[in-house]
Amino acid sequence: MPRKPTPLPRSARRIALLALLPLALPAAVRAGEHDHHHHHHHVAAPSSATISRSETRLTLPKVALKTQDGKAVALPELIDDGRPVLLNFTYTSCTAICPPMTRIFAEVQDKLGADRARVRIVSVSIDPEEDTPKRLRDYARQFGAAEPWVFVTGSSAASESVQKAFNAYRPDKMGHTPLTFLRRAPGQPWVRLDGLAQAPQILAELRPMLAP
Amino acid sequence: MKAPLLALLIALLGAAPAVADEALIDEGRRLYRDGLRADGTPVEGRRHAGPPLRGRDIACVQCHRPSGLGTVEGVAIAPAITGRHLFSPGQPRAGRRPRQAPGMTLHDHGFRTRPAYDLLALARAMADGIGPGGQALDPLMPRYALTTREVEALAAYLGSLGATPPPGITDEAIHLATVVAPDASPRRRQAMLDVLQHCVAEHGPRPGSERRPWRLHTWKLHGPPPTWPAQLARHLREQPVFALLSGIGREWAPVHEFCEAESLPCLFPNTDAPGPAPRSSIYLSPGVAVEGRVMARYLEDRPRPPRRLVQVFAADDIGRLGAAALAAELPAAARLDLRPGTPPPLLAEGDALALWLPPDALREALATLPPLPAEVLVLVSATLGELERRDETSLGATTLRQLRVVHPFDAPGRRLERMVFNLGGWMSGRGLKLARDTERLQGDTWSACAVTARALYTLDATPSREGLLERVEDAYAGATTTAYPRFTLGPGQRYGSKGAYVMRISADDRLEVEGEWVVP
Repeated sequence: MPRKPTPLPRSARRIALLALLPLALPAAVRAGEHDHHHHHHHVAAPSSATISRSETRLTLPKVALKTQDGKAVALPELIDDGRPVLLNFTYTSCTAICPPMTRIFAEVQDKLGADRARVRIVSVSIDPEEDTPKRLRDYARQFGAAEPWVFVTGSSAASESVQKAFNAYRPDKMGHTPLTFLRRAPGQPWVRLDGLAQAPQILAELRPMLAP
Repeated sequence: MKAPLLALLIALLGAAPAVADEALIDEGRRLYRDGLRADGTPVEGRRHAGPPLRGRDIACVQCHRPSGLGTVEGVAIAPAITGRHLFSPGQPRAGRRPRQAPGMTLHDHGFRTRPAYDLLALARAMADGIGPGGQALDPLMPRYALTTREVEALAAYLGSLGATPPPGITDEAIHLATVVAPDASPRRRQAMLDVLQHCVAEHGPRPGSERRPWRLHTWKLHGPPPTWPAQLARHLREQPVFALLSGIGREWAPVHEFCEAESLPCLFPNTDAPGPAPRSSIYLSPGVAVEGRVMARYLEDRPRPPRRLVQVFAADDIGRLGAAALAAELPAAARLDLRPGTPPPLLAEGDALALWLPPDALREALATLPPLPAEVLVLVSATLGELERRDETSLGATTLRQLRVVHPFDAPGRRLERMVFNLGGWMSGRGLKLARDTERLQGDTWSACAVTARALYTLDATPSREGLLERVEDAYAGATTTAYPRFTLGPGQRYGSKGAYVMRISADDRLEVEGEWVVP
């Protein structure tokens, strides 16, 4: 419930608020410079800031998907085209995590420069019912995604089987966590980055994969 | 000298809605919701060491949601930042203690342990990502280049969020209403009310709990649809409500428009004719409109899309909405609309026929159909034909090989099995009966109640209507008894089910799924 102040004329209250600003600023800056206590074995509350890297081998399911252009693609073929792959899971109405994740992929795409054609980038929708090819197309455009970055959707079963293959499935899509997958070539292990991996970190994984 | 001034400042911020003028709140609203400055240019910022970001991309609303109550995705938490939350100290989660292990201390999230924000702390958080306790904010939180005036505008807007208790919530109760329109049969109205009343009574807080009880009011409408808005307005005046829950009606446009105009959350009414582009309403499915769009998709995917669309529907029934949706998707096709009972013209290759007819008229139309060339498809609305309410279609049309039923529900057998499993026990325990002709209605009503109940429980002591809609979007998994094979929501999504099956009629007169669930 909002507290009710003693009524003042509106103009007077407004002036009071503005007048306080310059005085209040230095006082509170000092208030923030308090000592930090240091203990050992601190465990932070879970956050997307921590990145954990692992390597994993997995079998891609054979499923039919659709790209943002409505084109039918089969999953192993789309990913196993010989190029290094960068892959994530996302959905277009997602609020907190997906826009930053997609923004980071866009940054990777831009920083790859001339090398971008040598990488396959795939974003798989985990909300395929809502994410029609048209919605994915609008989303890709919003983030400046272009070939060879494709957004894919499909039946719910197809999307779920891909998520399960990558051990990324959550029954409730709101429970999803930021994940980035990279792989040098078919048959090689996948690098899995748990957490909101930033572009420099992704590029540090990707560049060696591009080396001959 | 400074300490009392600071205290005064904090006191004033606590009362931000009373202090700030409307223009300042408006500036804050544009920053918050659109990421735009007062002069219309996009606000700038960056996340972590990432590239510069602008405007809507980094608008507060993206993560903190229209209500300011924030969101949780996996381990990413965007905390609540309404004035009431921000300008008072962080609160540990009620009833939970941080987990402990020998030799370890778990640090709770900074937003739960921080001191109260003031204007300066807000400025620093926005610019440098440092909270009032000196803690670094989550790296998902962008750093913004804002002027002092803009920080002040933002504070004013945050102070206004949720500051006025929404209508329908008193200290004693949360009031909800369900709308019963006269164009639903008495048997169906009663079937809906029986499930809803039992469900609300059981899901609501127990007497004696700290939570406010829920009071469900029934708003019975009378007369023709154009007179409904005035009746709804009178009901709302006499008994303000927080939201409309479930309800039943064949026509729904007047209720839809009323909810939109009042910004009243209208949750999962049993109607097959939802209004267009909902903001305040969340529907079970787009209804007959999605049938029309799936018919269009089916026709477009044929080697030769039709050159002429012949549709039979009554202008005063909801089939007109499906017919309009189909025609809108196939603008190149010529359109011929016929009233029920009108003998169709001779149909030739290049034509498609769509029937939006109630059961008797549908059977009559199929029985009197002149012979058709094999290429002409006959598309039937399952909703209008009530084909989801029976085991056998009784259309006597099994010989019509080119007949397809567009069916925006789960396959009959699967649906019934799920319904009996998930709802049958509950119903019989209350002396209610699942019946074949009302089972969709009963299941959908129970799910509407269960999802809304989940959402209501996650709202805190000062709920807002926007907050309710957001929590409903997150609570869709509670819908375990709907008639749909997939029922999902998400931020801004307004239809739980989004597609339909195309079905054939088997030799033993049952509906048989052809191909995959289609989301047009």
